Amino acid sequence: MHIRGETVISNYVAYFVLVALFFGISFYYIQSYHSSAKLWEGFYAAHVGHVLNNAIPGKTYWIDVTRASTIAHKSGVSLNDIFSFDNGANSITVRLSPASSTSYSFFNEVQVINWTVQQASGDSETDRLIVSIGVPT
Amino acid sequence: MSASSDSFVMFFAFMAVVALIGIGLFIGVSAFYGPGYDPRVSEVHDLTQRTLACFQEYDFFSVDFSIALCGINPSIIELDHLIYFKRLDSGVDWFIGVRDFVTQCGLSDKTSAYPICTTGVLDKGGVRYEYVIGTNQRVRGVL
Repeated sequence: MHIRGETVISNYVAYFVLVALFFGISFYYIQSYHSSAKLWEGFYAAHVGHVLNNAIPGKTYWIDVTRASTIAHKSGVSLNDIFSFDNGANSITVRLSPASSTSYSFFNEVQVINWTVQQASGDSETDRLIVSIGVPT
Repeated sequence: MSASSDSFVMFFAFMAVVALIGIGLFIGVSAFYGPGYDPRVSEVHDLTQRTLACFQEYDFFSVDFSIALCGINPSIIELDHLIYFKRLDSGVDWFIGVRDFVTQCGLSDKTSAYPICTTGVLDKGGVRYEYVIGTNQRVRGVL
């Protein structure tokens, strides 16, 4: 009887471990989708590229990048390193994790003469990427 | 039924339930987040608008014409885009980019590997032109 009881308990422990393992993996899987740096890097690279494709020289644009700055902050990327522009190659690069970054090209013949990420000061505010556009030299 | 076959059936039922929940979770998450953002849709729209407006302004078939006159960077277009015009009266064509997109554009609804394009016919100065404007640019991972 004692041996049978021990077997039942060890069975329950084994099942409990399997269930815990399953939910752990499931949680990690959903979380990796939810805060996927790669996914959001691609989104912001293409989104900023879309803005630049329609940009007019002499104007300044701002883009809500709150989600990007939140992910970057969690993965240890500083605010100034999230976005970079290569005017020679007409491309934008977004980095939300130290290990990798994502790049996208814009066809519009413009130059990004200045950019900055402005952090929100209040709850109702959003973090903004402010981009100033100039004429190519 | 012996105790070992009992526990095997129980384990099998348990794993079946876990697999069922796992498959449901995978399908649910994939359906919720979708295949991702496809930037080609908005890009081909922007490129078409810009190109067609420019086509009315410049003679694309002139020898000294460059797409840079439209404010479009030629080296970006040459990589994974296409701008194609064909005179319907003479059959003469002009293009910049990947010429093969003319064929691939017709297959873009079969698989996402093919470029997304806009096609149409327009009139300029009494001459009808067929156009194909497409892109297959994706976001690129950089290490």
